[in-house]
Amino acid sequence: MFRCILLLVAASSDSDIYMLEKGATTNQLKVKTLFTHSLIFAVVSVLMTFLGLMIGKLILNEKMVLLHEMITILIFLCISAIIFVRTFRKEKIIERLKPEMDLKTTLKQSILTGIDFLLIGVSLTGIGIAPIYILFAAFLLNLSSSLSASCIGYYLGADYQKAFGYLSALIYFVVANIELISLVL
Amino acid sequence: MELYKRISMKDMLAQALYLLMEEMPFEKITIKQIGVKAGVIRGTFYNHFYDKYEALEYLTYTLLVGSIEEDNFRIRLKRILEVFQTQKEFFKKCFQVEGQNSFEMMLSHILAEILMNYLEVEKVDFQKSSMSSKDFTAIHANMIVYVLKNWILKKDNLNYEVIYEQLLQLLGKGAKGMIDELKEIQE
Repeated sequence: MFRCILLLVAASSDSDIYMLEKGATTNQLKVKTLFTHSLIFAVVSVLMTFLGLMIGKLILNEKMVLLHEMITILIFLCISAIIFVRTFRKEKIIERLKPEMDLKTTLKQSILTGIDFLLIGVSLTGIGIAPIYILFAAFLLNLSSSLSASCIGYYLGADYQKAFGYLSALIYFVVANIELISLVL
Repeated sequence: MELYKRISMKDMLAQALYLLMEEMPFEKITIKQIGVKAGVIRGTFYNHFYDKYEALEYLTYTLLVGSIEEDNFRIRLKRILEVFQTQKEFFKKCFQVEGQNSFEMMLSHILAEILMNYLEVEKVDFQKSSMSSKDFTAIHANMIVYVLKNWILKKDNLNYEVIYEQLLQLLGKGAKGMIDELKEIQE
C-alpha cells in the first residue's frame, strides 16, 4: 500500500507543476476555480488509473509475474529519467499575470499528465490491493496535491516547480530500485 | 499644509523593486520578494502590474517623467540626465535587463513619449513630411538611449552636462551638421 501511495504521489507531480504555475500567475485566489481545475486532474487521473488496471488485467497473467515485475521496473526507471531530464531542461517561468484559467488547456494537460497514472495502473495490477482503494487514493491524492500546489504557487511563487519535478523523479527511481532489490532477493 | 504625502500601492511596489535592485540583479528578483518588501502578499502585485518588467518600466517612468515637471524640452532633457547621473548604479543594473523586455526598449518608449509630447506642445505637423511623427520620435529616442547606455556603462565619469552638450549637438545639428563642423575645425 505504501508503494502504491508513493507512486500516486509521484504521478501527481505533473499536475502539481501545472497548478503551481497557475497559482503563481493569478492575482486572486479563487477557490472555486482552483477546485474545478484540480477536480479535472483528479477525475482524469482516476480514469487513467482504471484504464491502466484494466490493461494490466488483460495483458498480464500469473505466468507473466516475473515479466510484469521487470516491465514495471523498466517503466519506472524510464519515467524517472524522463522527468529528471525534463525538469533539468525546464526554463524558469517568467511570473506574469494570467488570471484566466482555461478549462480546455487544463483538460488537455490532465490527459497528458494522466499517462503516468495509466502506467502505474498497469504496474499495480495483481499486487493484492482492491482497485477501488487504488482509485480512491489516486483521486484524493491528486485533488489535494493540485489544490495545495496552486496555493503554494499563489503565496510563494513558482520557484518550487523544479523541486516537485526532482522529487517525482526521485520517487520513481527509489520505487524502481526497491522492486529490483526485492526481485533479486 | 500636508504633513505627509500619500503614497499609492503602485508606488510602494515600485519603491520595493528599486530597493531590491540595490541588493540583487533584476533577473533574480521574484514577485514574492517585491511583495514582502512592500509588505503585501504576492497577489497584490498583480493588481497593479502585469509582471516585474512593467514594474520596472513604471519605476523608470516615475524617475524620468513623474518627478520632472518641465515643458521645455532642453531643460527636461537636462533634468533627465541629472537623474541618470545621481542614480547611475541603479541604471547600470537596468541596462543589464536584456532580451524581449529589455530596459533599452522600455527607455526608448518613455523617451519617444517625451519627444511626442514636445512635438504636440510645439504644434509640429508631420502631415507634409515623408516621415511620421512616430518614426521621428523613435529614431531620436533610440539615439538618446544609445548615448545614455554608453555613458552609464563606461567607466569614465563624464559629467551629465558634457553628455547634455553632446546630445544637443546630435539632436540639433544632426550627422551632416556635425560632420561639416568637424571639417571646418580640421581646416
